[in-house]
Amino acid sequence: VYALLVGHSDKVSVVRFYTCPASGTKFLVTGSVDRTIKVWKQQEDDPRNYKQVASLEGHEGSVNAIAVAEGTDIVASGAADGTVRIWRIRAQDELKCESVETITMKPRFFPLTLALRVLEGGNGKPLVLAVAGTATSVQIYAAESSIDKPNFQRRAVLSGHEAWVRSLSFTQDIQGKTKDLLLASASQDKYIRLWRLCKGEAQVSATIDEDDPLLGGMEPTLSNKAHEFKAAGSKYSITFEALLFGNEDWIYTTAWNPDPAKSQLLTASADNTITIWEQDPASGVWVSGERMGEISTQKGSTTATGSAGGFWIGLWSPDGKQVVSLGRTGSWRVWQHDSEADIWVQKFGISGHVRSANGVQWEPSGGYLLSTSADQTTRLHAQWLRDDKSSWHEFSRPQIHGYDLNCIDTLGPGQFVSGADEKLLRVFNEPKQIAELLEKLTGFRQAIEGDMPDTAEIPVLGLSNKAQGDEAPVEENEDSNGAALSAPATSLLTDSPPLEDQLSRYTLWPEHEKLYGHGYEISAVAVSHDRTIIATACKASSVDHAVIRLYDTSDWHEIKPSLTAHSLTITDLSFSDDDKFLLSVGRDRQWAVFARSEQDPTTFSSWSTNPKGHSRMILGAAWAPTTTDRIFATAGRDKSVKIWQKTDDAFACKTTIALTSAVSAVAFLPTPYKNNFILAAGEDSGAVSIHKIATDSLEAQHIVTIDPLIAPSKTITQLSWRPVPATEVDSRTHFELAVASEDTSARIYAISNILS
Amino acid sequence: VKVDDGGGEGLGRIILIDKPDSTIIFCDAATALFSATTIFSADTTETSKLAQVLASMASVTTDYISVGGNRHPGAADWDVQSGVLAFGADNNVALWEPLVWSIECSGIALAIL
Repeated sequence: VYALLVGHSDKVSVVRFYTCPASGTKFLVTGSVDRTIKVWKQQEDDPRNYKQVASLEGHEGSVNAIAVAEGTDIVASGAADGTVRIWRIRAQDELKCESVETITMKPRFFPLTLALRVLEGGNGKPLVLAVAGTATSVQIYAAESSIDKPNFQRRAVLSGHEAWVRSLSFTQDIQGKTKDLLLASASQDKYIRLWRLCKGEAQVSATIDEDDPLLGGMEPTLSNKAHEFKAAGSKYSITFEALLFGNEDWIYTTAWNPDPAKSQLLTASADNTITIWEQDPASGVWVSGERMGEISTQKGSTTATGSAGGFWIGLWSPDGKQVVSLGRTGSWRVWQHDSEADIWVQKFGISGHVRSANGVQWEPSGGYLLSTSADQTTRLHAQWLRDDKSSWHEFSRPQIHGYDLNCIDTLGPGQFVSGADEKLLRVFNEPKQIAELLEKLTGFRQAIEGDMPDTAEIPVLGLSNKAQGDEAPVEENEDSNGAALSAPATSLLTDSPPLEDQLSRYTLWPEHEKLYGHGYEISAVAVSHDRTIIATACKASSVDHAVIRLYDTSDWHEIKPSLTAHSLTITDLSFSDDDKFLLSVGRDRQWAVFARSEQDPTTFSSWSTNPKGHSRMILGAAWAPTTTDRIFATAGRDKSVKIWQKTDDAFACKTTIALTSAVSAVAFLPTPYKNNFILAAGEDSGAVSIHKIATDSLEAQHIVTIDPLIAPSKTITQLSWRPVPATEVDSRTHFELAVASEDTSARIYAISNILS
Repeated sequence: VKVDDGGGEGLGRIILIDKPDSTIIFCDAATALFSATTIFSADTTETSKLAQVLASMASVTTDYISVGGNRHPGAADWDVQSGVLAFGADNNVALWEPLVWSIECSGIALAIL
């Protein structure tokens, strides 16, 4: 993914490319739950990018379907208000978008899919529009002309499906001599139907053999009644052509191969397969030529145990030699046709969170990035280096959980701790295979110890990751041999990043420890820089629950007593560079600093608090990277970042940075840079800005704000600078900043020329 | 050379004329993003001064975006002409070039063979 276009205010539910026939200008037309349709224009100076140029309003429900057709400037959209609206998007000289017609569905249903096509042979380019959705029938509308006012009229109702119809698509039949159209309709009844639309009288198609055992029992729904209608002075007819069966669950999408020489239909189904259907050249019968995905699923398997959870979208590449499919986890799988061997080979795709990304943390030396999300997964991202190229990919999915994940911190190169909407925190260990994979493809070397675990598996109906072979008797004193024997059948050591199937099955990290103590969902976690202490907090509405609990990482016991200061949820925790101080901030507008005991380094005591640190709740906290002076930053809903400096017995606010919306996250570059502290601040609006703070005067100066066009579009949940060795920092020209946002994205920005 | 004060909004816009009869580079002071357009002519000495300023300004590029697709059957389309696959990712629209990847990958596969 090289760009995210920002504009819609709610989930985007439909995306279609559109080319204006008059000017050849390329557009992207998108519909959303926010009830609008946005039109994005391809940028002339940067053809890979699109910019919003218009917003079409009128629908009174979530927009679910958009159809465009080659050679016409008519665009149809269907929404959960039970209407189909017809628009004209014309880009000659200047862009003109107008609503030309509204069709109300009768009997009332919500259109979920539309297909539009110019009819051959008529004057004025007549159009045919197929509409289907939360009803079992497919409705066919025709318009006399696409040049004047189209005036769509219902001409036929195709019945046969026994459940909601999810997808419709037209293609031209290449088998016959006449230029007939084929319409594919796919339904939740697990069947695909093909319909033939031809000009002129209906040809008598072969009668259905009622004795055919394959069709036994289904005969009543197979009617080859011809639906005839007139448009633009020509006669057209629609007949039922074929029934395609074999899927075991709902079918979501249909797509015809864009290669006109091939009559192939791609379907994606909730049964975890995508299928390519072809007509058998001898018999003319439609058969499934190729099925990809999980052909036979384990009984009782869930997405947590690696099942794909259904394929929601299937698409052809422009040349028809690749197909992609979107799975439940939000990942795209890719298959490529190997023409020599005539097989479809799976390639690695792309992946990412499907709900709010709530945390990002770098491995202590910057070797990889962990992200955690309300989609109940934790993912590991790293940079694949080869030849002179490099690119970022998901290399492991350490945690697939049953609760929304809220926070994460690293415990070293091979261990992390995360907190979710449950009362405990969990610690995970990196398996040997992942360490080897990272070393091979990303060059990240870590001391691979003999006792590193194997990858974990989640038992069916289980909640937590278990190391493989945990239940079996442990073979001791057999480090290398034992590990080799119990390694999973599928090796991860390939020459490219793992496939989605491997990510969800073979890259889990085994759970090492659970940390109990809190009474509500976990809200914040921080690990000391020496990796000896974990500080945690939970959601709270009273002093009793708004405590900081500390855990000793040597034996994972809770260090009592817990630290009190706050009366509402603690939103962020931070240890100073030398771990001598712990800072906490909360919804009670307070910050509190605790000092570590010299005698007993596992205990902390209250050192200073400020009950009115900000005028609204405080959402972020970070210590500046210095131990000679004591400086920290707090981020408040009052649209400001405050810089605090230690005086003899308290901290005083030295600088206030005013920003445009509530500040939700702050992070300091882990080393001073040319006598400045570099601070990143993230806001509720998705804005991210970089500031420099002079190490002596603490004067702040704005350096750069990330262009809203390339910035996240919802609240920034966490910011994390990639660590840079202190000795190299002043010679660096750019730094990397990881950003997690509620818009589900986890991103890495490179920021160059921070200081001139 | 013109410097626009941003209409009192605080963040202005710098316009740099690269060389006489050459490209104009617009620089948004708020974001330090550059964009180039049209032909113009101007004084060279001012140009070099501004060039120095601009070359030293901070800039931001995106190295990586990780985002999942929306589970809605209509929420993606693969453009036949450009090869760009667009998909809905929460309230954003993600742009991806799957074919660029596959070319890279097959290159690697060949190298290994």
